[in-house]
Amino acid sequence: MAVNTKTAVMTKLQARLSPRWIAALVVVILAFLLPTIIHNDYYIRVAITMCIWGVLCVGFRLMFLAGEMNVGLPAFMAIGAYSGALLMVKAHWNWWLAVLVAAAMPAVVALILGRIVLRVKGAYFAILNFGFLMVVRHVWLAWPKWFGGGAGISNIPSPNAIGGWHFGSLPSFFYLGLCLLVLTIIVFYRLEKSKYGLTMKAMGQADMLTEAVGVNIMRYKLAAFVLCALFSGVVGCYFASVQHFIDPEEFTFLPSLYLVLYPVVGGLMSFRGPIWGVVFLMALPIGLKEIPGYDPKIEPIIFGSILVVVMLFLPSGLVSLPARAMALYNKLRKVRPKEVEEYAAP
Amino acid sequence: MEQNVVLQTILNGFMLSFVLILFALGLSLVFGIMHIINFAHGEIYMLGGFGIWWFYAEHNVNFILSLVLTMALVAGVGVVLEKFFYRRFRGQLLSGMILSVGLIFVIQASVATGWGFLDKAIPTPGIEEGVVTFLGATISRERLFVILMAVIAMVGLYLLLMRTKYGRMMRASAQDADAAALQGISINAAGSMAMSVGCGIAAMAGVLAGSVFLVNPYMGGTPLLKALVTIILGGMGSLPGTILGGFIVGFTDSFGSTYLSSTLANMIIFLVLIAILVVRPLGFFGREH
Amino acid sequence: MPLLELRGLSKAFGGLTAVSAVDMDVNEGEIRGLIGPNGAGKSTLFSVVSGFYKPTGGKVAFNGEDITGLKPHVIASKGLVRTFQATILFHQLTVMENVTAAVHIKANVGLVGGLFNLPSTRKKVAHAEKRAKEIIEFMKLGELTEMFAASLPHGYQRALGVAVALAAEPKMVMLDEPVTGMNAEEQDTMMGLIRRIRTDLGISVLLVEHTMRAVMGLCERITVMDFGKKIAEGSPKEISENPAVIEAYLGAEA
Repeated sequence: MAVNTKTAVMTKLQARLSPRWIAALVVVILAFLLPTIIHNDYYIRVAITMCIWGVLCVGFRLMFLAGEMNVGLPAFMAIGAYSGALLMVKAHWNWWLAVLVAAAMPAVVALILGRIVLRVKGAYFAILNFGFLMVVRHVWLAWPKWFGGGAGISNIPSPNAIGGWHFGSLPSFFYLGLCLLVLTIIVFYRLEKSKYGLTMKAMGQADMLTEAVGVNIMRYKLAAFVLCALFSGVVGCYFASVQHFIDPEEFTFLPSLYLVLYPVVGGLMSFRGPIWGVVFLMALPIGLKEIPGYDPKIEPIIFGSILVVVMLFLPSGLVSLPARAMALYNKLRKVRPKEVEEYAAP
Repeated sequence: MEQNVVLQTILNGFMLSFVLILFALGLSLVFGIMHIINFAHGEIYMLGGFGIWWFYAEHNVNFILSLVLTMALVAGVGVVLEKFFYRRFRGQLLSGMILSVGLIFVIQASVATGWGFLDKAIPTPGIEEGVVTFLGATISRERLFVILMAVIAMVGLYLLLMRTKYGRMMRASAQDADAAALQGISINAAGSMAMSVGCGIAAMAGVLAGSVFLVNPYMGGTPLLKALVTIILGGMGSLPGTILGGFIVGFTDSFGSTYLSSTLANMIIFLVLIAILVVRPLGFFGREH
Repeated sequence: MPLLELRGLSKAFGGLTAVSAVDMDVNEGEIRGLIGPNGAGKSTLFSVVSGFYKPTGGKVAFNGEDITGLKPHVIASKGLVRTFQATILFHQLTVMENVTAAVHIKANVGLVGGLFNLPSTRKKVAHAEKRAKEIIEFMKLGELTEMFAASLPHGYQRALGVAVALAAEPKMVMLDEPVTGMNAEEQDTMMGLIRRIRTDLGISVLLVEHTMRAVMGLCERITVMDFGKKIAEGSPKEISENPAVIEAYLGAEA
């Protein structure tokens, strides 16, 4: 008996310590060490932005498994940002309490809205989400007394000190953001690997068949929709205190297009694709700036072109490049010897 | 006085509706034949606006000639887009959508880089400035001109679709692409035609809007959203539906803006969309695809 | 009491009537065939009964309960499961994943369960995997568990389709063209499996098929449709001698 359990535990450990997990762990550790190596404020800001978009894109993938492009996340981020900001600025709430509301508000809105919006699928669903984005933006503008109108909300404080940690410096923000990203990754990865995730994938591949075996599609999609809204709200509150300022224009059409850009370029066929998409496309401009004569205004042209190229030639995204290259290499290698054999045979 | 405002709002509603319908019909036509939604349609519209600005405002070419040139050039852009990009994704809605996003970035930023992001105004097209009084309501000559041009364009589109060989080819392909192919109508040809016509009239909508409002590289976003609402309301792939949807959105916009605010008007449009979709998930005249 | 009862079931799409006032009873333990020329309305009937279309008239009762107009997943949870005509499968999942995903009714894992891996969740997953393995063995797909559904040969794909339906713990399965496109050997294997579904698993079968060999060989009773109406019902012998059936298939001459 004891031997059996020991073998079982050892096999489990071996599975856990597979190269993938070790690689992921190394990456996380390196990420945490980043501010000690890089002292440039600008780069740390970029890293913070990567954390924010990382959270959004990881969430985006969950609904994509079920075949839906959940482009409305910036609206939920806005709801979270405004809720948190208002509580902190007008009612002097502690950040750590405000963030709970920032998580709950978008989740509630998603719960109500989802029942209607999730009745439709595919492009209709995406379009409704764009419409929702527009409506939410108008809410901030329509009641300036409450939401500050076009001027937005300023003087949003940093998170309050907690357990000896003070938040105000960029590195401290980065650590918080990174923790948020790691938490998001753990949550969404577990979900994807569980039977819930399997059901979502099944829904994305053959929704009628899933219905025919008894799956209540609305319930599954709604759960994902609400969860994504929740995380978007949290990251919105985080964003508000990093920038110390928010206005309605931060959360509209353009961010939702980026929400499509990053995951698709990274690769929506694997879990890590969206994250790598964020990292690559945010690191790229840093490299491009070094090129003499480079005009940052053409950045969207470059991004758009990369997206088009990926869609046409590399639909599984950049993360599939190594595998594709290997396959191509193997193909080239194997053809020659085989040809020779075939011609040599009598 | 009260009656004046109502009449004014109605006339404004017509103008907004006609321009929107023209724009949305282009989107609908492309969808009907290629079964993709060209999200870059808003940028096509914007190119129309910039076209008229470049030819007419910057280089003083005759307005009508500028209009024709712009439409032709943008229609050409549409043909290129269809051949090199959209053809591959025919029938794949989501992939087509993602591809469009890439094109939005490229087109928008190209124009912004080339000509800056500030608003540009276009002088009144060769008509005397001023207003016309009609049944006690005043409407600027500009707006009247826009309505007239839009009506002419829609009549032209109707004739093209119903009375010409090309129109028949497009309609056949939209109804049943395989059957049409058996009759010798290549779906690629139909797709090209649809894109060129669709982009042409979108460009015209951009020209008309540009003459009345201002032109900037980001002007395509809101009209696109309104057009999407329009085609969903009316039912995807249904041209009459698009027209009906266009009137609903245009008049809601006009009345909402006059009596409430343009902000609230937009919200109401969205709520109307949701309400209709709850009752009829495929829009008024939509069919399963 | 029949397991499945259709009373005056109708479905019209705008002006086109696809199914017209069909009465039909399928008893427990039966293997019933539903045949008819192309366009007779058989697949529409399937879709209406299983909840994918709402009927424009009539009623459907299953196991004594009125299921008219219920949603497909609710009908499935009551024990009536259908397959689809084209090879509709979870193409990018493996055979094992296909069937495991289909074990849903008693193994429904939600957001909370999936995230926290509660003991109840683990039980459900174990149940799903166990049942999936049993069904895969039953349908003779044991060698192929790790293959992706998309890469299976046609015959195995159809078998997988049936396996997926079985995973949903049905009392009755509605098989839509289970042997279409198969050669004689594959047909015999599938026919044997369908018989075993009835005898060993106690699941009743209603099937739509064009391949007469399979229909005549499998079904004790056959219902014939044409132009949306039921035109005949009886044993294979009776059906093959029925003049109305013969005319429907050959068409009215002159």
